[in-house]
Amino acid sequence: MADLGNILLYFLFPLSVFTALTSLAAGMTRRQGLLVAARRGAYSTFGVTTLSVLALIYLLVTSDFTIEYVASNTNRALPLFYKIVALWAGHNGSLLLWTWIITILIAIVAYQNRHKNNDLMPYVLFVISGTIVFFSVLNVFIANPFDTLYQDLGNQLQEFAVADGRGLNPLLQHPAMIIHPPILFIGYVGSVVPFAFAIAALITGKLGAGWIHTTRRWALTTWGFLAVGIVLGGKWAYVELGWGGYWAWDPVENASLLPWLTATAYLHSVMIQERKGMLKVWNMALVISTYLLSVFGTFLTRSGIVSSVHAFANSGLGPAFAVFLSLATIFSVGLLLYRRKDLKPDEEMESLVSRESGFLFNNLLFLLATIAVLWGTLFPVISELFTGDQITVGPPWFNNIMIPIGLALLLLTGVGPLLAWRHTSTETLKRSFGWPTLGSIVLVVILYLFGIKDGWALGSFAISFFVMWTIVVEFVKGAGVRSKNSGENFFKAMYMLSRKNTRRYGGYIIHAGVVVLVLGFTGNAFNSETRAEVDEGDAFSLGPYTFTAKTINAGENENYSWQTLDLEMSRNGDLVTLLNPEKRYYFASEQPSTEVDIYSTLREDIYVVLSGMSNDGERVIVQIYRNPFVKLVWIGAFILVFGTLFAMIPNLRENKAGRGA
Amino acid sequence: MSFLAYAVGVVFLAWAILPLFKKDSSWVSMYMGFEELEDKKQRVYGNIADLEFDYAMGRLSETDFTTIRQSFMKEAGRVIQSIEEKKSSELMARIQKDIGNKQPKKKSKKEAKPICPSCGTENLAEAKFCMKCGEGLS
Repeated sequence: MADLGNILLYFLFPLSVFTALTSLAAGMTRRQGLLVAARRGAYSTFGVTTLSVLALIYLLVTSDFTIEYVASNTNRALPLFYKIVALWAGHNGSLLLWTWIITILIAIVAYQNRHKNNDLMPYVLFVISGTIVFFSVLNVFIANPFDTLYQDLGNQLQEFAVADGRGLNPLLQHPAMIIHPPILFIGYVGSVVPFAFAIAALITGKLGAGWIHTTRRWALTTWGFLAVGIVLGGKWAYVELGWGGYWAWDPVENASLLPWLTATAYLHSVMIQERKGMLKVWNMALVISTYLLSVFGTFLTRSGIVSSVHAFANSGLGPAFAVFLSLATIFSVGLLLYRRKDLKPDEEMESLVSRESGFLFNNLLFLLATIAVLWGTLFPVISELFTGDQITVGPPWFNNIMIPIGLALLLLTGVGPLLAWRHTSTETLKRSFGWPTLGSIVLVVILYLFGIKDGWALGSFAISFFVMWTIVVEFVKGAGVRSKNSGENFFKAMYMLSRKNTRRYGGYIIHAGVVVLVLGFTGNAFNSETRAEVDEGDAFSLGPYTFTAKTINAGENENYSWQTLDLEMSRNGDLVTLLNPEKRYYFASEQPSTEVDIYSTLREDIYVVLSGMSNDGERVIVQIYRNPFVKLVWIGAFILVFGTLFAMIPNLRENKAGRGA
Repeated sequence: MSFLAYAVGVVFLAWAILPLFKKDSSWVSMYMGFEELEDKKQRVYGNIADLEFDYAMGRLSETDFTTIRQSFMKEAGRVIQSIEEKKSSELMARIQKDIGNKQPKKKSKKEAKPICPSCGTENLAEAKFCMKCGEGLS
């Protein structure tokens, strides 16, 4: 089975080269046969990679320990489910997953466009298959998951099998881990589709709105996947890493944030191109950056140039990535410069107070955020270059820059949609913004009187309130107008209104999700924590809660040994809940792991970690974090996903004459 | 097992290569030359729809709404006119091409004007001798 998988993986290389060459030739000669061949080549890359992936899953499930990857990432006692998930637990396997996803995408794109976009398709296939060529080289020659274990017998190498594998990293044995990597990867890899269409448009000179329309759903989908992948990563870190938070500005986290920032900027600025015919070069630049940053993120994770909690150690892929990234950058930027004269704006900006200038500010802020995150992430590398020491900038540095940018962006979320295109008069500004502004000010005063003194938190609450107000007003007022014109009842009118422009109202729902997310983030300003060494019967307190250690237990199963603590949490003498934090030690991987217990309400999370034994071995150490509003982060993410899905529903068309409006 | 793998791989390759050996035609570009104008038309229509929505939502004063709407309507008119012109000129060109193709080629040969080999003067189609120097025209 290992042979089968390996040989088929080897076929990926010639197949992807074939696809790239025939598609390029098809583009230059317009010969139908070449395009058909390129399309079949695309399907075939998907075919061989899928079979290869299935072969690897088979090897993982059957615990074939002659294979290095299987031996390094699973063990016999591992539940079946985690054996399958181990496909993306290690470096080589996750790279195969990456390659597999991109072959899935090329097959979908080839199939979707088999009867259309004939002018663009050859180059679209060329760009995607070109990327596959690169990843197939990595997967086949540098990081092959089918490599077998060898032992050196002096003059020859001999294959051998270990009795049992090293097991799956305990940190990865968590449900969020099952979906987090594939979802994030789809987000990363998906950026290749808009990129391929943009490049095809640049090569063919067909720079109209065609490529934008074709890739609209792709851009939104991959953006959504990226967002969900990032949040799931945060959820995993929160539950599994046991340090009480979900985001630490770790290089790998930042790597996923970077393409998301540029993709978000693109989703906004593309609307100016659609309405005003402006920012054409800029939109191209954003699509290109999103793709390059996605590849860069992978490079960062796998090259070992920056150290991170979950970066793969130096894997030998660094130079290959550097070469590919440079080539892709030179190629796409060169092409963009070559076509810049054909990308002139059709109109000029008319007023500073207009929807389009709102979008422009939004883009400037996203650009700023991208540069800041990139700079902070690469600072260790840059500082090493100049001073010889790796200087890491920590979370405070990122927070100091990103909180103001984030709040400014949030404010624009409320202001932008209320501005009219072209020009908004002062009178309408007053009418639109008067009440929400007043409401926010009143809220700030009340919160201040209730003892909230943190400036950023007050600002965040005020802006969130403002934005939420404007979003609700958009729905209510729109439904009111429609109901008056059509005679439909209010709720029907609201439904019809949103279904008639799913992109606009889906966007508002996403904005509402972002507000909820930001409220969740703001909770960080009020975090508190305590640490205690306790024996059975000991009590300690945090805020209004009293914690009493009831029993301390220990035991083991075939996979790990464990120690647990039963902790009673009460408030004013009333029992609230019983918490069971756990500490595990996995035999196969020889790694400890903390299983935190979280009492989660809308108001706050009580996050309990069993850190280990005290020095004298008599008591256990408990760490308790009180994190307000964390639940809002997950709820906000759900709203965001709902909004994204809503925005992808095709608009409802109705007979205009019948509506009478 | 490895034989099977090779077989599957080769089948995929062969299936992809096969279309290269079939009788082949080239596709006609879908690009007609007025896509950009068509984009522009869609843009203006979108702008008008947005403008009406913004006005209904109270984001625009009535005067602003009327003036902007009027300018959009004019623009839409201009764009549609350009599309029509472009379409009709494309049509004319196609008709011209079709007619041109049907005309007998002999006639054009007949009308070829002989050039004098000695002085280079262009002569009438039926001329036997050069009208300037009298040299014989073959």
